[in-house]
Amino acid sequence: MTAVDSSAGSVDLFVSPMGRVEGDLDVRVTIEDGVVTSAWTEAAMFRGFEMILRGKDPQAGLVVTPRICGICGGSHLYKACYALDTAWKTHVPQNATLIRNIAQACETLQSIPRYFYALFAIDLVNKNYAGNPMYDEAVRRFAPYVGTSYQKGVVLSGKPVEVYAIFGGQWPHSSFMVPGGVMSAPNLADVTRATAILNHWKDNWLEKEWLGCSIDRWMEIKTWEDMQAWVNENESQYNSDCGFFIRYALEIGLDKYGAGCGNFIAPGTYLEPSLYENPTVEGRQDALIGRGGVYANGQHFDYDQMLVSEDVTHSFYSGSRPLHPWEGETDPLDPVKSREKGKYSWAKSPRYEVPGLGRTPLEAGPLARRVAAGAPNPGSHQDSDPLFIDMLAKLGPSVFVRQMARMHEAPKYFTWVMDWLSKIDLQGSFHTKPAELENGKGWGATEAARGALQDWIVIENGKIANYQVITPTAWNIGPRDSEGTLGPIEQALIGTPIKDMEDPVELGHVARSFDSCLVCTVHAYDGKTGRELNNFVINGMV
Amino acid sequence: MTLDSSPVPAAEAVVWREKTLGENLARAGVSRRSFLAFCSRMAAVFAVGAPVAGWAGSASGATPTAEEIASALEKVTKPVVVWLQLQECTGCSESLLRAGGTTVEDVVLKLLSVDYLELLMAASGDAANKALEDANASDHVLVVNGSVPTKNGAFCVIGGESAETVLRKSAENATAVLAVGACAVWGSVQASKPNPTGAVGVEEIITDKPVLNVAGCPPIGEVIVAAITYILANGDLPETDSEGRPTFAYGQRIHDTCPRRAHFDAGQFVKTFDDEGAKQGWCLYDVGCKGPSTFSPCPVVQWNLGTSWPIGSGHPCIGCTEKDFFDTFTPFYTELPDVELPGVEATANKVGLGLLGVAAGGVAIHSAATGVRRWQGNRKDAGDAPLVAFGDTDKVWLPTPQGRPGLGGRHQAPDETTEEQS
Ligand code: SF4
Ligand code: SF4
Repeated sequence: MTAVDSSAGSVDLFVSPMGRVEGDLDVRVTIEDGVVTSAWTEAAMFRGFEMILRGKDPQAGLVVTPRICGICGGSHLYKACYALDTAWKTHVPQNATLIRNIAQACETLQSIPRYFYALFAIDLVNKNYAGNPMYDEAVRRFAPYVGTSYQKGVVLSGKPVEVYAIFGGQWPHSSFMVPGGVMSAPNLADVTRATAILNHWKDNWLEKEWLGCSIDRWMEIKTWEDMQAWVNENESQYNSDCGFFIRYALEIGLDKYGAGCGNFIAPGTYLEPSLYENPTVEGRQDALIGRGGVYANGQHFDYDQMLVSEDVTHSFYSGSRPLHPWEGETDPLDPVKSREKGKYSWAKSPRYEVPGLGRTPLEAGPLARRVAAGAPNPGSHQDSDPLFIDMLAKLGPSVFVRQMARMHEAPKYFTWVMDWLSKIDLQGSFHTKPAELENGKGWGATEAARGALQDWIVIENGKIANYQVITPTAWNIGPRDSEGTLGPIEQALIGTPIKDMEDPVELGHVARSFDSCLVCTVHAYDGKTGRELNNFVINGMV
Repeated sequence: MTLDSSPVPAAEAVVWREKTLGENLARAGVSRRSFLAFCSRMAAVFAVGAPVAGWAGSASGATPTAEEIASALEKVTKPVVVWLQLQECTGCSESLLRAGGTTVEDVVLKLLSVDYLELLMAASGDAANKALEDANASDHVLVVNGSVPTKNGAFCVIGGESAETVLRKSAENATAVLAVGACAVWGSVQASKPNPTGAVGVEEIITDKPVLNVAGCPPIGEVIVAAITYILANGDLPETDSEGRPTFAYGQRIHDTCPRRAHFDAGQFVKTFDDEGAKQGWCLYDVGCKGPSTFSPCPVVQWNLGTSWPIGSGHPCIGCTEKDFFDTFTPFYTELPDVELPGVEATANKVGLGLLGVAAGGVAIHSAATGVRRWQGNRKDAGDAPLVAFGDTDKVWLPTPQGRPGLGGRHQAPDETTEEQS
């Protein structure tokens, strides 16, 4: 499933030196005979965080890295903290692990409806579908601002981050997680309030609007057949936003394209408090609740961060070979000049050394997590869920399956958060003051709503000697590598059928299904003439 | 609300159809009651800091009531707002979105005819660029999110042009310029040493008109809305402090209204995040709280619809509404040794011993100036700003006027600035 681009040099075919960019990500595709034949994803903004962190106090990453992306700020904080925990060999009390889990999950719970209604569903009401019998209903529900589900979904999406604010003081951009635990010492009122807020969200959005059934009923679904039967089980499920989305997605063919590379990465997240009181790089895999793993060519592998490297062949950085992030470099070049050498993005290309396959681009995100949850031999505390292995086998990866993977996490994580809230020992400890070791290496990882998010830190003489961040968006939107192998979104776009060359909404579905955190513009070109057909902004938040 | 069968594209749903905001709200079915609820929230923000003087139509001539805000806003006729996003992280937009909860803020914001906001627009790139051109050509309010890289225009490109060019064009006919968030105010974290992209705030580029600085990384959503509300209702910028921040929201230090203040005065300090003091809600000064030198409405307005705020949740303030907070305030969770507190002659340690009351601290140190007066060059007022009391020189607080040669928009080399600070 790996697409390789052999036509080096064609990259610059259609672009002026500066590029034509709105927002932070530029996607260019060529279309021939109604099908996408090639794609380039170009990250268009550089801020130099890794350079800023070098030489700073080790804890600087806690404040700096969340500012990489305000949508995932809590996830950045979470993994930056674990990077220090492993480097400083801290002790993290069980309460602190619970609260970190809760906060991380609440950010994701917030993201799910916000993303679905405000970003993804907009394309479902594109006029290209106006002839479809289900179209009027889609518009009634999902039209931006005025759809019956839109306003509710977007407004209620703010609820889970109110819970974040109870523990973290604010969202976005709290800094309340610190090596050795968390700053908050919540009381009973805080926990009660958090529980009430989440129940409100569940009652009014998750069960009422989205599922049309109880969480328990939804979680009984184990196969694609179960899911289809669920839709038809009763009117409430059939007509819920979820029931409607499944029917409409199949109707307009979202299960037919956007496959991507079909290989996945998930470092996993949420730790079992009793198994991770002394965080280490090696001990993490077994302590995970939301499992990690790599899935390539139909095989599950344990996730090993040592096998990650970043390639800068097509990125605006100097560097001659792929480097593991502990050795990673961030040395920006002038884009105008380096375009001549075939470079075209500010994102690096992260790759994973899959045993037997070599350096491979992998898709990060909810589908990757759902695949990892289907691996054999789970621990008793671990997520074990066969649903998406089943759906992949029967449907293959697609826009639809990726989207369902994301939505499936709402009921799942809700249940987990409620469990963690009930386990907090209010009399217990929330922080153990760490020894600030002068030297060390650390790695912190999590699953942001949109996928694998990891930091690698090297501390020397009490200062940061190296700091590298790999975001899920980099995994997904990264450019070609030294072999010319395309990144996951680039691959996912290829083969997409385009009905209306002047309004290629299908490209929006594919790119949005990855929920890249960047506002991005798609430019479609006629593959034969090079004429620009259209360009439009996606992931704009309405 | 009825719908015709065509989808309602985002841009169309925000069309301002009637003459005034009041009429538009009525058309959108927003009840007077929920509009007033919105206005009382705004009134609460206006009441945080320094009294709002000279509110248009205010009977008392002081901080306006919800009714007064409502009646001023209702009369507003369609303003044109251009909203740019440059080097930023989307956190400010997220914060703004979380000012919601009722739909009135939505309506007010969306009905502003935000003619160009990348993130709020799903329109095609060409249409968006055309919208920007049209809006730029008329009188408009310019809101900027994000910093401007000055080392290489290619570090942030919008519509084929560098962020700096886009900003200059949009500012040309702007009647008011708002810098929203630390990035737009001074560059935020990407401007911290060694500032690899040469990131600067709006007022380093736009030097010929006042810039209202809505500080914070991010600012509280309600405060962003309040700043816009003020400008719409009054057709003028609010009074600002020497940092260009509206005094109605930034007129007081966190330390002045902090609920933990009694513990500060009594010398009761949290020593580690999990000690008995932490559980008792004692003062966070010793674990690095920057509240004594930070001007922000956090304690009063709070976050996420008033759910909590950092110090409320046991988190020392990191000072994100202050310029250069990142370089100046790191390490964040360590008490700055023997730091002098503003307005008092004792260090915190001595205060901690209960030697001195500091209730009056900070009241007199906050110099106010209108936006217009400010840019004419009274930046030196910053000399009495609180960071000085933190043992630094005034160079920390602001680049010296000489450091901004010719006001031509090019800032001094960031490396120099940061060197001076260290
Ligand atoms: S000011 Fe802070 S929150 Fe706002 S865009 Fe900049 S980094 Fe993000
Ligand atoms: S030092 Fe911080 S926590 Fe203590 S009273 Fe002042 S603002 Fe509040």
